Amino acid sequence: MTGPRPRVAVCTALTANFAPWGRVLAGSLHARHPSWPLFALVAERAEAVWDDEAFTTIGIESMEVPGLLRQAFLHTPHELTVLAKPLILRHVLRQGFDAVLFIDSDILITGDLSPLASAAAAHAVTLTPHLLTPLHGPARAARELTMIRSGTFNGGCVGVGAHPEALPFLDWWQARLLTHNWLEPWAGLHHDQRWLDLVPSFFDQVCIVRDPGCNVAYWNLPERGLRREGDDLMVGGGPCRFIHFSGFDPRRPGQLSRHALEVSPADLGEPVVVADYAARLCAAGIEEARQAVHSFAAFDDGIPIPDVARSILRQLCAAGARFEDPFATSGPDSYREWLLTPGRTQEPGAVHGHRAAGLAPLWQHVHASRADLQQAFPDPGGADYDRFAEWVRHFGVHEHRIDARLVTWGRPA
Amino acid sequence: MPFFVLLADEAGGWFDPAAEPFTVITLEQLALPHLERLRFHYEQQPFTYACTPALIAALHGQGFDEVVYFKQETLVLASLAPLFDRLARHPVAVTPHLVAPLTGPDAGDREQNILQSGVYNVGVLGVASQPPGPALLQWWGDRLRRHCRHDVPGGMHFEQRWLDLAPAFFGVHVLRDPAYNIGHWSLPDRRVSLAADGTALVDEAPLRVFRFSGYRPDEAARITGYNQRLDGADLGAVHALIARVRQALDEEGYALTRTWPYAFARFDNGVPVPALARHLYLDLGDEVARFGDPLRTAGAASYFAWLTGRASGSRLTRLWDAVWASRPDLQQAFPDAREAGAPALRAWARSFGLAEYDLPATWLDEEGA
Repeated sequence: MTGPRPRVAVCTALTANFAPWGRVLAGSLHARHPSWPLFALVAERAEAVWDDEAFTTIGIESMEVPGLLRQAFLHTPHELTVLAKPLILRHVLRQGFDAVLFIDSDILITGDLSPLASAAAAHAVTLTPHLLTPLHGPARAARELTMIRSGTFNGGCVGVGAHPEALPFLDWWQARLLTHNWLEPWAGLHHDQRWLDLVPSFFDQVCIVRDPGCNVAYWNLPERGLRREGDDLMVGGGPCRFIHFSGFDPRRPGQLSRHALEVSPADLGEPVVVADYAARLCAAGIEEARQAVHSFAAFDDGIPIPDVARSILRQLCAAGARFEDPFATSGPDSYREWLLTPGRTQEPGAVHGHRAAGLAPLWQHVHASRADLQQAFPDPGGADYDRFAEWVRHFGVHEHRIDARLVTWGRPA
Repeated sequence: MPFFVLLADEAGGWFDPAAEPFTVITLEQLALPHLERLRFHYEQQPFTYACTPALIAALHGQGFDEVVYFKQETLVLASLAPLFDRLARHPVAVTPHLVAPLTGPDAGDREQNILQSGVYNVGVLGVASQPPGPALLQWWGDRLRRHCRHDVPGGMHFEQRWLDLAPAFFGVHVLRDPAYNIGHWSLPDRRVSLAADGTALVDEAPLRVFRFSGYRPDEAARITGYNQRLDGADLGAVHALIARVRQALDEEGYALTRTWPYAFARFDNGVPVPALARHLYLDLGDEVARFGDPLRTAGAASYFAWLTGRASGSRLTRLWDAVWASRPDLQQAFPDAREAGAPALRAWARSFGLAEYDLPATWLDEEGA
């Protein structure tokens, strides 16, 4: 590319317990591109956002997101960092950069990213595919189908440029993530990722980077053939630009990814790279960070939110919109009060056709979601009430990780 | 402009291909290895889909450099010259279902539906003989031999979802112009109208290709049978186009031809091939080579004889043994079905199994009856 070098920024998204991953990303990025700033969107409450890092931290509460507290309640911490991708890309692009690259925090920069940045500067959207060529061998169709279910393009690296189509892309992607950021590959959803499949048909200025040095990861190792030449990692005839350690856990260094147990670090070709990455994460404080509790993990009185409470609010859809701050516990109109108060089967969101008027919505939904409970307690609001209550006290609270303080049984109906 | 039609069937005595206004390509003219196996893998419709890459490649082989494929439920309404112009510059041209984000309250759900069916619609597809055209056809054809099924959870929507990978594997030209592929998926967002002179327009530009995907003349009030979203909707001039399709189909003998049989629907002894027999055949992998043509029933080595024979170590026929082996509910209800419990499973098959698998009673296992 001729002309002046583009002004480039990189951004990522993480929760507090992923801070060390961000530090390792920052270290590897700045070793190659010391002048490129790194911004990290922190998917935590404002008071839990910290600074004094090699990257600039920005709390998700400072982003303009409709119904942010509801979103923070509906999503797991990981899903919240996924939702954050269009937010931080827009935030940084608006600061006047020519190109902004979103890079997942579990990526290690190993080579020159300038070609990727130049592509991003020249287009509205820049994407990197999981696979670049048809596969060979007996598992070829099965591996390709895995990618068809997960998405053609990897959501770990998405570039935007100062181009009129960039903001419409980010607005659309954000809108879809606010309502369809789920992992349901059987129904066409894979968090943010499957949505990217639509980008080449929705926008004109889209660049598909078919560079084997980008996004080396467990899903494409046989095709990439990573090797070392002197100090450099190489793929094919060019440099390895970045490795995506998706699903890697430094406590299990013998396994490259929890998403693909059959792939070992040796399959990377340069297993020492994996050991080195694990060592960097440890040096960056991963043990200490693991203790961090997600600041959206509890109601405002400190009681942990059980997963079932999140999925019930999700099932309520529009009927749950009245709970603007689902974390709030004060007042009779709070989500938690609704969740724990029996006898509301006539309300929107109550389990349809369920006789369990004497049960709180929380336990109605647990019962309705489990065939084994329906078999064992056919009439949990009536004849089986006491036995079901017994099950809740002895088993239900543990199986669904429900804090004992949330078990509020009244008299049998 | 020469127009070719693949006959993924046999003309039999039903019609004279030479009398048609198109050139018929027969299955034997395509480079389809083990055709007798491939045509057994799928039902009638998916089989035609699985032949698409080989059909385009065959026309490249006849010396045509630029080939545009249309699915049969297509009406060409205006010049395709601009499409061929693009193909001269871009060897692979795909038409997306949607060319821009949808708006409105159901936009996300409708786009999710497209993610389940495939970003690109295979109803209109251009492939030139220049690279990477042939490589795409070879790859696609290979995958469709065994993976041209409707299995949305598994990532398959017949032949279509495979093309989601094409932009990554080959680099393709995405034809972001609704004029080349208007179907139920792009309605009512795209406004179809008729100009004073009768020219069909989409968003005020000439509409070149209209796709009546899912339209069934027997349900003439519905634009498509694939979903109910558009039932009763005001779709402007689409209704006139559908009426035109209806009339043309009637004039071309739709009522008569729909009664004609499909040549590969039955074994050669007249027994219809059940879907289950096709699935079991696919599961056997390359083992099926020993059966020869699976539609042939003569001899102990035929697939039909295998299906109706006893599985080793089981008192059941292989068909019912495979059904039992694939179903935890049956294994729980009839734990000993391969031995002493065989009569109970046969009774289940008679009362429920035939209906569940849409099988005629000829498939019942009558051992010891």
